[in-house]
Amino acid sequence: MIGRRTGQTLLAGGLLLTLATGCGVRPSIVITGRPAVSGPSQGIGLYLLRQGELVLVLRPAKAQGTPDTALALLAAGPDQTERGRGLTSEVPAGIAPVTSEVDQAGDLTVRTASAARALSENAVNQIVCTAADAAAQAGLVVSFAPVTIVGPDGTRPPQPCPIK
Amino acid sequence: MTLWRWVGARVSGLRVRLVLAFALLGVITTVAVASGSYFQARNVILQQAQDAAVMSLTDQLTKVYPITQLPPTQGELDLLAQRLSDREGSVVVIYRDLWAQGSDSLDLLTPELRQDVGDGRIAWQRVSSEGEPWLLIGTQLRFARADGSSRPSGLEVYSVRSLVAEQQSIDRLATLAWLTGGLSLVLAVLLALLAARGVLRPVRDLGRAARRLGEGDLSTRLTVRGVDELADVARTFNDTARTLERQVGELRRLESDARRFVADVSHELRTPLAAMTAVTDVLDEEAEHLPGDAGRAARLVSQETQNLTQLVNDLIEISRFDSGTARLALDDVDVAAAVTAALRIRGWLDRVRTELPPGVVVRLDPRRLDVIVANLVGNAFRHGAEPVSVRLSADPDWVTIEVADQGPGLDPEVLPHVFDRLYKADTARTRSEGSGLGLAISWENARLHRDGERRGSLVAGNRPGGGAVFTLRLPRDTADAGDAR
Amino acid sequence: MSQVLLIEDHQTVRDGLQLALTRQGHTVHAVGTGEQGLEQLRATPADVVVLDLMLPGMDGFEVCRRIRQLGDLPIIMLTARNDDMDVVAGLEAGADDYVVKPVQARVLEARIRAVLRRTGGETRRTGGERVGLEQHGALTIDRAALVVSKDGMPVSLAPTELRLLLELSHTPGQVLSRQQLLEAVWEHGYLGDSRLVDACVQRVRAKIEVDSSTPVFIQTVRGFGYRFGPL
Repeated sequence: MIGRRTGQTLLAGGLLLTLATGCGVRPSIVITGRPAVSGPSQGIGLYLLRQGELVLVLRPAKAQGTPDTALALLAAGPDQTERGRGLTSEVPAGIAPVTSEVDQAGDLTVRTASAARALSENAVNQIVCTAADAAAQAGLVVSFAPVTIVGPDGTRPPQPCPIK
Repeated sequence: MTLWRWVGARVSGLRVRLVLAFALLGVITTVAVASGSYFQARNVILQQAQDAAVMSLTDQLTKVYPITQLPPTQGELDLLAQRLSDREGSVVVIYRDLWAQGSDSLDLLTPELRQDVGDGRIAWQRVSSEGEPWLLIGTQLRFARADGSSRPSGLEVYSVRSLVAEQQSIDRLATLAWLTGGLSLVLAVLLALLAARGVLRPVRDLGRAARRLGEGDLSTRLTVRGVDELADVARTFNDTARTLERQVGELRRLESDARRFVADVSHELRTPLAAMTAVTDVLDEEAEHLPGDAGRAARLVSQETQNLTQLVNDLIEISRFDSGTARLALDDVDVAAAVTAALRIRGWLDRVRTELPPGVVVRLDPRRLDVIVANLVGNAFRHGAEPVSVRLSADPDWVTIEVADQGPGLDPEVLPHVFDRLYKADTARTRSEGSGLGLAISWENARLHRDGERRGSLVAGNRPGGGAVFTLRLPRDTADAGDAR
Repeated sequence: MSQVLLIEDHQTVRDGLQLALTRQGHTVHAVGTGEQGLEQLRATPADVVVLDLMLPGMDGFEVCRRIRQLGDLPIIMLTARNDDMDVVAGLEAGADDYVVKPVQARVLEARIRAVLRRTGGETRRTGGERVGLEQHGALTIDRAALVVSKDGMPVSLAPTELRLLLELSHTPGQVLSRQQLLEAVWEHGYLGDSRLVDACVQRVRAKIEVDSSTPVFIQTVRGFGYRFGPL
């Protein structure tokens, strides 16, 4: 009988404890919901480097840029302001003029004026992401389509932009 | 120890147990219901607050688009943060290592939140800072592509809102829950007391009835209510009491029949004895003139007639005690004079050592005192040895008369039976020594004298120096039974 | 010597008592019922009546009352029990004394003699020490003529009642215990029945007091007995 009473007491006590400690607003873990907010951008987007990292840069423009315009701006490198903010580019200016085309299969090909094989990894990523973004923005290809860079010295294997 | 046992008895009492059980049940139910609805309501409140905040933030953020320039300058970030902040919360805008804010809220952002926001989803978290609850909502600003996918812009927006208002609502809920719980506990205890009374009343009735039965009121019955287990018990109790009453009644009837028979026989014997007694004097006188055997026979008949008369008178006296019809004829009596008179008319005055202080006037029945004294002294002469002494003493409440002899005293085996009727201690005793009822009648006569709680008594014992002693104690002022004059 | 009327329904008891009392020198008329007894009284006057209380037909109490109405004839009750209501009822009906059956002849004989001494002739010899009229308030007691009158009207007292009043008024203001009165009036040598005194006092009060519940002449002294006055 003592045991039963103790059990009852414990039960009641536990309930009261829950009630007492559960009062008010408790901190919570991180709760995730829908995908992040997204919206339209205006201007020509190109990817520069910041401390070796790909960074999207929007250049004001009246209309959406074509891949070619974007690649031309990329080849021109960061402007004064951008450089002041620590943005760099590894794309050599010599690759201009750059052209791009979309083949039957929907693959994007970029043709450079200078050697494509000698391009650094970052430069390749800059070119791939800028071209793919602009093409997708223009509705030419689906997003994340692999990009093939063809130079006078040969062709680099197709690869997609690493930025999701 | 005793106190603990008392407390234990109270606590383990049926009423307390019932009330405790009810209260416990009430408390558990209330706690379950109240806490359940409390948690539910709290979740709903928080959920709604969070959903509303997220909705409001995303609504506001859509107005930021289209974004025309990246990377933003510090001024642009500050402007954005200001635009997004409102009364309900401040906003932190982060672009890589740049950040701007409506207020001092950056410290609140947790790494986990940053991580989940960086993964591209809207995320929120409640944190507590300086005792106040805060809601943090974070999201990236991404650029939509034509095909529905998006790319990160590197901008992150965090909204920091205080949850104090919600906390207050929830606190009100909690107060309400405590109040409800308290009220229902009171209600439970009240209901428990009511129920306990309902359940315990038959139990108490049963206890009371059992006590009355135990005290001898065999006509005690319980009112049987309902058809529950207690009603069964009550029925059983009634059956038992009925059986007991019948059997005891039967026994009493048998006993009173037997007594009445003795009384009737005695009365029947009285008429022939009355005729015989009337002529014993004639026999005694004539016996002197009758020759030899005839004279002896006449004396024998006369003597035995008187003995038989004594026996029958004693039997009638006893039956009167048994039937409760014995009545005291009280008078204010000088005990010393009464005892002396009792001794004198039996010719014992010279043989008895008396110690009778005069002036002890006691209200008693003189005839019964005479019977007691005569029986005790006569008994001492017959069974003890002389000298026999009679000693009178008195205190404000009692008068005591001790009759002692110098004989061998009473056998311990005989002592408990001295006042039994017709008990023959000495088997060799001859019939002429008494009816065998004298001491029993004396005992009854002593007990008949009573004054409230004080009741006359007669006890037998042995003196340390040898010899039996009979002690008669009578209350000084026996209650008046019939003497109204 | 004296004329005794014995009223007793049991043949053998009657015969035995008649035999014994006759041997003591009394003239005994023995009858079996109360009616016969009353008839006998009318035919032959008696000095004393010995009356059994348990009688067929008219019971002893009624006989007692009838005899009392006729005059001051002394009555001795024969009763079967000595401590029940019969004794009280008999005394209230007017009996002077009682004996309990079975009774030895000499005990009854002694009571008869005692009660006879209280009647007129013998009382004159034993109680006439003080001659003359005594005045106690409204009460006049003539010890010589044995006459008591109240406000000039003679009061009819039975011999025992008269004797009790004479005994008490002999020493006005002095308390007499019931035992003393029993010895003086009833000649009970020891521990008599005090109810005799109480019943007799009641009867005397009824005859001489204005209000017997607040007596003036015969007062009860609780714890002691009775006293005459003080007026």
